[in-house]
Parts: sequence; structure tokens; C-alpha cells
Amino acid sequence: MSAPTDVAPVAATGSPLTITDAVAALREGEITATGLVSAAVAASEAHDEALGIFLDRYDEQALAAAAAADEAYAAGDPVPPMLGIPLGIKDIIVTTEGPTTGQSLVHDPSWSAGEDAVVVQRLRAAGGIVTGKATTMEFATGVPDLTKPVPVPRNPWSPERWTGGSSSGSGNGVVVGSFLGALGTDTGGSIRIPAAYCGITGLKATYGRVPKSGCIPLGYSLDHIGPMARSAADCALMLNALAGHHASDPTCVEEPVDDYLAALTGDVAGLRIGVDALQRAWPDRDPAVEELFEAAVSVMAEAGAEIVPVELPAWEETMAANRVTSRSEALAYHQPDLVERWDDYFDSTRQGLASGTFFTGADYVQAQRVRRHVQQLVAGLFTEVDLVLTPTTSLPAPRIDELGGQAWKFGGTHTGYWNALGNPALAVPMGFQDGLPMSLQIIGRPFEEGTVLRAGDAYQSVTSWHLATPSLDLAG
Amino acid sequence: MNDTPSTTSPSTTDLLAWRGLAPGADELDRIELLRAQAEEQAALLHGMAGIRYEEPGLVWRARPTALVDGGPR
Repeated sequence: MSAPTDVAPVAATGSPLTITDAVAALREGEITATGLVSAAVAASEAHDEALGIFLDRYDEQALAAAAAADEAYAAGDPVPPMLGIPLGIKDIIVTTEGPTTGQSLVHDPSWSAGEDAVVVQRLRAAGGIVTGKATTMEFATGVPDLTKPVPVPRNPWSPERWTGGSSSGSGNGVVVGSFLGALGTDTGGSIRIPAAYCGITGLKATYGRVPKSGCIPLGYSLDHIGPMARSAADCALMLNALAGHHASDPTCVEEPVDDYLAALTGDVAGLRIGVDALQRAWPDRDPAVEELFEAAVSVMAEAGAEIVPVELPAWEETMAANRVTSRSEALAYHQPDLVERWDDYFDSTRQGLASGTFFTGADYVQAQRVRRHVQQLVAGLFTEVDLVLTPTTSLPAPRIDELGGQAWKFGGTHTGYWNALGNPALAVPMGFQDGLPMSLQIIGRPFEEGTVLRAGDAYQSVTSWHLATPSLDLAG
Repeated sequence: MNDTPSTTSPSTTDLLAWRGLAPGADELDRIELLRAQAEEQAALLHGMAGIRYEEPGLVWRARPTALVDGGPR
């Protein structure tokens, strides 16, 4: 065995290092945590300014934690499952190292200062190392406001394009190796959309599976915290640390937690997979998206799954229920500040929040009735199939200079349906359209993240889209 | 004096002012678009068939049986 060396975030094979690869290499003594974190810091030095990955970096603390991890490895004692892995944290989730801003001029950064959110506590306990606070859209909603003094997250595949949001830095940071995994949050797709646009993997687990205390809320009944990383296996490893009840979050459920890594059998044999291409949701999309989606479905069929055409019920109504709920719950949180500090909010944030005033109490209640009804319809559908596949989006990453005029349509994203219903949903890369990543969405029954991750891992065991890297000098 | 109730919707500016919000004039076009979308979304929800007797279950508080086995509540 060669002596441990510093490593770049790209392995010797030319593929990016995944968390599971890195853990194996650390355990074998092929690399060191200090080398791993140093490489992550170097990647951030090279790309943070241009791509808008971080709001705050904790290089010194991360390197100190890496040194401690190396000591633990050297001692030869049992170590936690992700010891020494550099991670990014979306800046609406609190960490002890520094303030949480929500990428906003309005938020009081003293809120929960000096504390770790439960999810951060759990990642640290699993050995993860916090490298910094990743960019978000303000309060996890809207699009960039170029007039505000904050970084603009750019897509590593095409820097004039957006990363997607709102877990923006969590997406592009994984791509360039500033960290190997990250925490994002998802109220209408804010994990899965940047995962799709950036060409990585992201999981929204079942509502209530992961505690949200210590996270700035957007839509209380729709918010999820979840992992973003290169692979479904990496997301499984992170979810092993994140999942489970915590009394600090009243919406967190007391449901047994599976071993998600153990669920990765490497195949989908015997699974019945429903397929809805959602052409009705965005009929004008590029036929190339159809071809990518059909190819992804074929991969699942060739891997042994039984493919069953399905039509997700009440698509438009459920997407509307997501929006009515999200806008209403967000306005409840922001209204006092919105009245007092309108101009300090980003333009798309304040306009979106203000639109919550156009819904009545009856509208909000009706949205909850629709959610309940469609949950039951979809539960019935899931008696016929084990999983459902859809495209994550119908369009690739938009240009940043085109966002202001049309972002509110946010057309072509097919994620909010599952926030309204609560089912687990995984975004995995499925190819490229005009050089930009496109993504497959894999959805399962509530609390069956293991099956969702199993399918994603099986797909990634015979495809390599999730390991593709843009033509950046990752060594800086 | 005309006692017939007005059927004209309140203006967007008035609706926002009612909640203490005063956007700039250059933002009103965008907010009008959002209002139109909001009204369309609300109409979709209220027009949905089959939920006359549905209750707004707090499904996120616990694991409802219906979500697990697809059966009735």
C-alpha cells in the first residue's frame, strides 16, 4: 500500500470522488482526511468566486477537524461512518461556526447563533466535516437579485446559467468538489431542481423523516431537509445519519429508520415501476428530453423492472395546492418583516411572498383537502407499482439573465407535486441536452426511501451520468 | 346613489395596502401576473371534483394508514 497522499476531488480514474469512495480510501489509509479537506479547500479557492458557492467558508475549522479525524483513523479504533468527509450546509440551516443569514439582509443572524441544527449534529456525529455555508436563494425562495450584495450561484456546466434553487451552492459545490455532499432543503423542489440542473443526485425524503429544527422555515408543511451528493449511495449514507425522530420538530415522525445502504442491492429485479412522462405538464419541451427519459426507463427495464404506464392523478390541482400552501405558510412567517422592510427583500422574494395575500383562508384549507384527497389516490396507485418515474424537469438550467421575466412560471419543474403529497423523491442525472444535465425523478411510497435509493443506485451502477464533470480545472 | 354591490375586484394595490404592503410602481406588473396565477390556482382547487366530504387531514403529523396501504381511512 502506498503512503497516504493529498488527493484532488477527482480520483485517479478521472471520475469525481464520491463519499463512499472516499470513506473506503480513508479506511484503507490510501488518503487522509487532511488531504481530502485540503483538496476541497483548494477547489473552493479555485471556483467559489466565479461560481458563487459559499456565503461563508470555515477552512480553518474544517482542516482542524480533518486533523482530528486523521488521528482517530491512526488510532485504529472504530470510527463513525463518514469520518473526515467534507460537507456543505445550505445557509438556512444553523451551524456553530458562524451566523446563518438565509442569504438575506432581513434575517437576524443572531437567531440560533452558536448552535447546530439537529441535522448538523447528526452529520458531525457521523464524522462529517462542515466546510461552510452554501448559497441559497433568499429564504429558500425566488431567483437571484443581481442588485443585492450576495454571490450569484452559477452553473459549472455553463456559468451564464443558473444552478437552480434554492439549494444552489449545495449543487454547484458538489460538482466542483468544494465538498463531497451537502444539505439542501426542498419545499417545491429546491433539492431536486439544483441537483437536476447541476448533474448530481439529490433526495427529498418522506415528509417528517428528517427533523427540521434549526432551519429557517419556508412552508411548514412542505419543507424537507435532505442530502445532495454525487450518487444515490452517497445520499443513502447521508440519510442513514439524518433520518429519525427528534422531539424538537413537531412534524417529525416516530417511524423506524432503515439501513439505507443495506437497501442498495444493485438491482431492480422484481420491482414494478410506473412511468409518467408528464408531457401534459410541459407539452412544448424538446423531444430530446423524451428520448433521454425513454432511455432511462429502458435502463430500468433491462435491469429487470416491470414497467407500467401510469398517469399521476390531479396533477395541476396538486401543483396548485403546493403553491397555495407554500405562499400562505411563507407569508405567515414573513408578513411583519415584509411590511417593515420591503426594499431589503430581494425583488422576486418579496413579490412572491406578497402573492400570498391573494389567497383566502378558505383557499388554504381547500389546498389541504386536495392534498389529503390526492394522497389517497396516489396511495392507491402505489398498490399497483412500487415506484414511479418522471422527468425531474422538462427544461435544462435557464440563463441567469432570463430569470427575472419568467421565473415565476417556473415551468418545466415536476417536483412540487411530491412536496404536496410527502412521498420520497430522488433526482438522478439521466444525460445531457445541448451540453446541460437532465434528470430522472424516482418516487416511492412514504417511508420507503430504501426502495427509491435502491433504484437510483441500480440505475447508476449501469450508467455514468452522475460522474460526469464539466470542463473545469478542478485542481485549480 | 347606486345600491347595487360592486362586482369589481379590488385593485391589487388596494389588496396589498390592506396588508400593509406598498410595492413600487415598477413591480406591479409582476405582481399582477402573480395575482392572476393565484386566482387560477385557487379556482383549480375549489373546482376539483370528488372532495365534497374530504377533510384536511394533518397527514404530516403521523403516518396515516391510507398512505401505507392505500386503503380507506
